[in-house]
Amino acid sequence: MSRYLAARILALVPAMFLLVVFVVVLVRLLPGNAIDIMLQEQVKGTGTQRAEIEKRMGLDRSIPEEIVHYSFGAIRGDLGESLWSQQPVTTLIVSRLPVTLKLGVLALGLAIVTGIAIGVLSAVRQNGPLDFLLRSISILGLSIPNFALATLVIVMPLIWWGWSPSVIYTTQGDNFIGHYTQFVIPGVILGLSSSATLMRITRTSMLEVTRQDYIRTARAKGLAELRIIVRHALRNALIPVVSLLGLQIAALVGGTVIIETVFGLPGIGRLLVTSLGIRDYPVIQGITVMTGVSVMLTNLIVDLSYNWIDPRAKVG
Amino acid sequence: MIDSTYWSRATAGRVSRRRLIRGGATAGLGLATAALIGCGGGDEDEAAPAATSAPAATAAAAATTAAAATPAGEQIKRGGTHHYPATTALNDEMDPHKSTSQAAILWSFIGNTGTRLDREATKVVPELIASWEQVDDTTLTFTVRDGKWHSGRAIDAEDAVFNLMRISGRLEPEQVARYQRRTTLTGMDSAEAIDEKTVRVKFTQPTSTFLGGLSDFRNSWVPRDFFDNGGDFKDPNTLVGSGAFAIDHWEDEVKSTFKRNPEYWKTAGVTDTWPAGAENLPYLDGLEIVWVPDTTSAIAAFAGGDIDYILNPSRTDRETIKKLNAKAREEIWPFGNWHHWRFNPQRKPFDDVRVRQALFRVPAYDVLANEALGEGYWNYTGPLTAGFGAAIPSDEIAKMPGWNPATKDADIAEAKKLMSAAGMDDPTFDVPIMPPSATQAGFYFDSSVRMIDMLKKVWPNINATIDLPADSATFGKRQVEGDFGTIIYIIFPQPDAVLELQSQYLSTGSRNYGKFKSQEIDDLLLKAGTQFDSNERKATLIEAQRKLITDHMAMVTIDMPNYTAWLNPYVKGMEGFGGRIDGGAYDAWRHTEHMWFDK
Repeated sequence: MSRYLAARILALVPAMFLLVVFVVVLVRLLPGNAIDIMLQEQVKGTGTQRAEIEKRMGLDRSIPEEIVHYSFGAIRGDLGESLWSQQPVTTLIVSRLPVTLKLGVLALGLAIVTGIAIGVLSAVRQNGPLDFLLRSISILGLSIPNFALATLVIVMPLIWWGWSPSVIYTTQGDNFIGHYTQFVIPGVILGLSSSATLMRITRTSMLEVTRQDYIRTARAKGLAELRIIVRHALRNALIPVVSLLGLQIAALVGGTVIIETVFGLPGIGRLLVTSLGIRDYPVIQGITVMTGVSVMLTNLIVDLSYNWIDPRAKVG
Repeated sequence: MIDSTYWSRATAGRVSRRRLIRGGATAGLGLATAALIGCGGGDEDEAAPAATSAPAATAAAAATTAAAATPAGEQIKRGGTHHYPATTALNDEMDPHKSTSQAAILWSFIGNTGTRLDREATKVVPELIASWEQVDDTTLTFTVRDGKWHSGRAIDAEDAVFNLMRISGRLEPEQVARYQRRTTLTGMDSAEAIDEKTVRVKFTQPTSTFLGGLSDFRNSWVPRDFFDNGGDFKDPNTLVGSGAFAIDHWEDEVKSTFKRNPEYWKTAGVTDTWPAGAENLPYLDGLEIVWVPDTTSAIAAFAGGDIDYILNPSRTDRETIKKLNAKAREEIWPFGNWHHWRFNPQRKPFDDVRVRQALFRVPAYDVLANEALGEGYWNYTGPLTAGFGAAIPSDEIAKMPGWNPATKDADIAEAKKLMSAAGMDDPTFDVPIMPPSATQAGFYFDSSVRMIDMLKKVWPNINATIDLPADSATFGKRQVEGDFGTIIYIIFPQPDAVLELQSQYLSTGSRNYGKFKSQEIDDLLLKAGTQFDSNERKATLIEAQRKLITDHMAMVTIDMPNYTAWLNPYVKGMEGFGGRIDGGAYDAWRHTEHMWFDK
């Protein structure tokens, strides 16, 4: 197992390097840079003046130079400075991370609990009215874009009852309870589509497992249905669910961009949107690399968890 | 009287009865103000530095403020915290002299500029510069206001010199391009403190634009010892200004709070500013910036009273506000920004003035503006934005060929003749129209679509298309590099009529993105920059504008939109506050010092 773990971690190194290359190249392929925006009020200010500013900001480096420079910086934990605010990127990310983590954990937790529970229920009641209802709900959850749902949740209560969920961010220091409750509605909306996805894969996987001989044997032995479902079927049905869960992390990070904007939450997603608009390369790169590494590590954990879920998987 | 027609245009003519009645109060207040400050005379129609010292404006300005800040029968209440909704991150370096516009939001609360324009943009009025004297054609002296920085130190002449040098980029020559307002101080040769409160400014040539240039809302002053005292524009928590509010805590996109400056210099005795001081400004205890990046969310927060106002909502959003917050009231005022359709004369066939004139005559500009902005929310404007007193008035522009809806058929006939004269009876050339972002909605995109339709109706084979940039940064790059056929966009004007026209039409103008070049226009605009007599200056500018329309048409001015603020009913002191050339939303932010809450 330890050799497997070491090999997997080692394999992450080239993946991370490729990620850096990809990000640095891609960001620079965007037309226009921060200086174009800084100097957009004037046709003059080009030539040597512009070159001077580019040099000061490190924008004069070629792409290979930047890849090397950025990679060595990243190894030391230095992701550069924002071209605009001049703040270290790590400081910016660390300051925004708690908000995104709270939102993400809530959304993911909700997605796991509801998605798996409903998926199991749906499988157990296959082709019954409940199954039909739950599948319809899951299709609905997958079909409604979260930005539309978020807007509806804000506007409709205002029209009907003169109330709407707060879109003004409350800090923990201002109101401890208010701080945490403000994540509930955006968390539910963010988790909805993941929940629906998990529900569908859980249902499918459960249906497959419950047709296996060992389940039939368990039933023949007279085991209680709940025990059969939870102890024998669900655990074996979880591998594809957990695999999908790893991929859902990346989807959730993408979803935070919209949800954080609509609900006024100052997280990583909003920082990314803002930085893209002003071509703040170091911040864009920092967030993308951080997200990419998070997804890689999550998937590593998911792979390692196969052993625990199903010892027959014999990972490593 | 230009001013009266201006304000009445904002509320009459194309507006509903209800809006007319509601707007009447605003217009009435505006007219009363104009009359009180004596700026309605035809001789004072332009924001030229009339070598006036502060006392000349004293009594009139005081009366203005009384009317604006204390509506009849209302007792001003002190206290409360204003919640200002920011829609985007304020993550620029908060250097007022380098930042494109973000720092100006923050500095609108904590800072002051050297001068300001009055609401009608007819006069330069004192702010941190209390009075001035034009000693000769190339020398001006001014006196600095008795006031204090938030640090407690008195503002002095050395502070003024520091700011003049800094705004003009001379303190950091290797970064001079980043000092984007340096052109507002065009012609300044040197500045020196001749005593504790007096500054002498020398110019390389007679320069009439200096005091107007200082009024740019982004030219806030910072204390000369800012850096020595540990100040850092990267950390807004360290900023020190002279304004009504001081920074208490800054955390971008999270929460930023400002507290009342108890020693603010605008008191009842200060009557020469616009608006004039009042006893112990500001009225509020503080303000808080809250971030609501999504428009619908902001409207919901506004309806719920979590934020106090919404600034300049789109036509669609106005309807949403009316549905969700029926008690909200609207302030509307003419605003100097101007939508335009800019040609690139460096590219064929836009190098041919006949082609430019022909293209100009076809679109129905009233249709474009009514559809995108709504009736009553815009004004006609010529080459100089109609916000300036020295501009050809909106009413006159409305009757000119090209703009006049009543003569559109004749204009189109003339357009066909002009195109034929340019050798194209059935033009097939490309007319790429580049909007400022990839957003496929809103004024620019919608107007582009309509313009293409209008052009194709006249010339079916013309290849008019939308040249959609990848995003706004791409647009900025292509605009600056002159990489476009035509552009549809909006311009935030310079604070002085001459500076504004020079920036757009002078062959070396900082915003002459199409590199338009005309010796006669250059001569006229340079001449205007040396004229101190406001009448002579205005005459020169009017001549330049007429020539630009009839002989050049380097770009088409589509309209000058009105600016609107939607206020919750308890928000007071913001009645009739908007200025024509003072920055739209920045008017609201700077006017926060007069805001009070009736709750």
